[in-house]
Amino acid sequence: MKAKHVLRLQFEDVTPQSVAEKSAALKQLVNRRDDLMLPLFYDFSDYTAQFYGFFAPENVP
Amino acid sequence: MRSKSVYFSLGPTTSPVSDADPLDPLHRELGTLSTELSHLETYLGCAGGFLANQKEPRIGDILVVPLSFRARADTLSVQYSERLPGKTVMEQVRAFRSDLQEAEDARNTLTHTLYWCGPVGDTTPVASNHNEGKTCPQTAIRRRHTSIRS
Repeated sequence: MKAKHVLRLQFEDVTPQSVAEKSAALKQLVNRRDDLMLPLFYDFSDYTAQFYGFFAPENVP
Repeated sequence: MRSKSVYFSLGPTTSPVSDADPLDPLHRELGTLSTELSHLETYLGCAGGFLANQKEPRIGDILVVPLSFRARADTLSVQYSERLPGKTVMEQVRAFRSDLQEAEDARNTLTHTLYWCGPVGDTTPVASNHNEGKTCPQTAIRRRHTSIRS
């Protein structure tokens, strides 16, 4: 009988540098989101400032 | 009948547990990666919430909070096309959406992976390696990934 499910193992070298490159790519995605939002939705930067303002030390109980 | 707890032993130790693990640099980078993705997830939530209700973004935020990363990315993408129909920027949005998913998949794969310091197939526990003061060459860090495929 042919096995319907198989267990597959993948082996790959993963280094701190390779993970750091993925983190850098994530930061680029944040910049790209800004490029898509900020020029077309003018109030968005005010909103994000307000949102992150909630985390400012003076606003944390 | 009481169930029996099972503990995994790392074998006999010859030095304190607080010794640096050779995988620590990798662990730090994995932490950074997770944190960066969380920031991005929050950013996506802000954008999706804002587009849902620009007059009262707080209402949009309430709707977005329980959503997964994928759902936030979809929400942003769909609302973008609703708000700006026919804009040439939609191609950028589609590419952005695709790259978001790729980033999350990469994070998930890296997070749900067993890391192994040393040649693959070497069953020597990592702890005994580092307790003997051996270093772990970058190239010897391996990822073991299991998956069930039908």
